[in-house]
Parts: sequence; C-alpha cells; structure tokens
Amino acid sequence: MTNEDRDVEPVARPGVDDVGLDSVAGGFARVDLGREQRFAEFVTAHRERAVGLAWRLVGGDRAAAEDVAQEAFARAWRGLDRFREQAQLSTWFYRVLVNEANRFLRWRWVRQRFGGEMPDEPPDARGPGAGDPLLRGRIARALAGLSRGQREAFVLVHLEGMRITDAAAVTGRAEGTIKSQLHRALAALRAELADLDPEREDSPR
Amino acid sequence: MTNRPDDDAFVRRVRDAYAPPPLSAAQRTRFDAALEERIARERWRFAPWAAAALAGGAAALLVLSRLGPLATPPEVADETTPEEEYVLALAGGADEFEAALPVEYRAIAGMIDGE
Repeated sequence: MTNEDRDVEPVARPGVDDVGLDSVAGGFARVDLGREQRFAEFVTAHRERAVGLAWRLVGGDRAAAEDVAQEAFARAWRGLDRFREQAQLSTWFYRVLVNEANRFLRWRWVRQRFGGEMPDEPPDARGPGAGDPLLRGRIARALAGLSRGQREAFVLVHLEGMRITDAAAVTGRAEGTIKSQLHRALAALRAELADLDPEREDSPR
Repeated sequence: MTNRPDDDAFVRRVRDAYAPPPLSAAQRTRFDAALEERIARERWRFAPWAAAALAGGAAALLVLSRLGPLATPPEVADETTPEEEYVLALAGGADEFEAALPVEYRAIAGMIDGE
C-alpha cells in the first residue's frame, strides 16, 4: 500500500488482499506450465472474486454475474499468450470484466427501454445470502443510480478492497479521478442510504 | 479506511449488507463446465476459418499442379506415329492416301476396282 493511497484506503477485507492482482499475475507468468494448466490456475485463483465483483456491478444478479465473469474468462483464454511476459493479465482481466458488466447493464437498459421489459428488483435481492435481502435490493438500486465511474470506483475500492492504483489501472482512469469519484459516490450513497449512517443509530435498518 | 471514521463505518455496513453469496462447490463445478463449453464453442466459431484456409491452400496447390505440365513446352516425338502418318497422308493427296492404307485395305480396294 503506497502512502498516496492512504487518504482513501479501502476497508481491509480478510481473504482479498492476499489474492492481490500482482501476486496472482506473477504466478501466472510462469512459462513452465502448459497453456491449459496456466489458464485453469488463473480461473481457480480468480473465479470467486470475479463472480463477486460482477455480482456487485450488475446489481446482485447471480446468473448475469456468472455470464459476465465467464465472458471475461473466455477473453482471458484468447489473450493468454499476450501476457506471458507482462504478468499483467489479472489487471487486464478485471478491466475486461468491468467492461462486460457495463455492456450487460447497457443491454438490460435497452431491453427495458425499447423491448417492453419492466425494470424489476435485482433477481438475487430476495435470494440467499448474508444480511437483509430488502436492504441488498436498496443498495443495488442506490449503486445503479450512481454514474458509471462512481459506481466502479466505489465497488472496486470500497467493496472489493482494491488499492487506488489497482482500481485506476483496471478502469483506465487517473488515480485523482478515482479519488474524486469515490468522494462523490460516498456522498451520494450516504444521502440515499441515510438509515445506514452511523450518526443515525435510531434510524430503521 | 476512508477520510472520516463515520465514512468508514458506513462503507463497512454497505459492504456487509451487499455481499455476494459465496459459490458452493456445485456452483463452482457448474461454472467451470459452462466456461469450458463457452471456450469450446469459440473454438468451433473460429474453426470454419481454419477449414476455409486449408481448403483454399489445397485448391491453390491443385491448380498449380495442373498448371505445371501446361506451362512446360510439349515434348517433340522423334518418330511420327502411324496415326500421324495417316493424317499427313490425308493432307498430301489421293495417291499418298492410297499408299498410306494398310496392305489388306489396298487389296480389297483393288478387287473392288477390278485391278
């Protein structure tokens, strides 16, 4: 963690920081493994995190999250050889995944806007998972109300525990832009989800 | 951590409440199988291009192999064949035509002509 990241550091998450982008990419760059084996290792190392990130970006839709993650992995399979030396496959992979999630959101919006589909609750909002399903649905809607940049910055840094530098690399934006987007996202979410504000302990959950 | 402690607490609450359910062993297996199937489909999607390239290459080789003998000058025979002599005799006139006929044909022709 660099000093410049400390002004907007993500909340530490057990089990995430030990599978950082660099460490996995470094292991993947070994040239003594076969292509299939290297890809299998990559999938195993990133599957849970990729599906989780996609789940958060697409608003809690498990089926869509798996589809987005699989498309990103399929692209990683195609681009595998290009990253043998660079050890930057994981950063590129998460950039592809974020773009795929945005593509899904755009198509869902188009289907809802022009295909007559009704916007509905996130499919997993009442499904299994930790916490209150109604609250999950509210958070999903609040995140959907953010701009794309704000949503990505908030999810990557605060929910996924990425460093500012990694989030900047994944999104292709400057670190200062990420920090600004985090600040605005946080303000918007605190206004939208005021009952989660710690200063309002008497508010309903 | 964020800039403010209350921001930090808010983020933690959002993160805890908006956490994806972990993949079960069955879901991981299903995910891997679906991914494998997707990659296999992509291979097939690119396969026709490879097949077309192979077919094109084979066709080009075939054309080149057929063009090869035509491009070389035809060999000139040292001796004329009987068929060629017959044709040459036809071109040379009636006498030569008669002379070019086989002996048996000439004998029959003589009997018919009363020679």
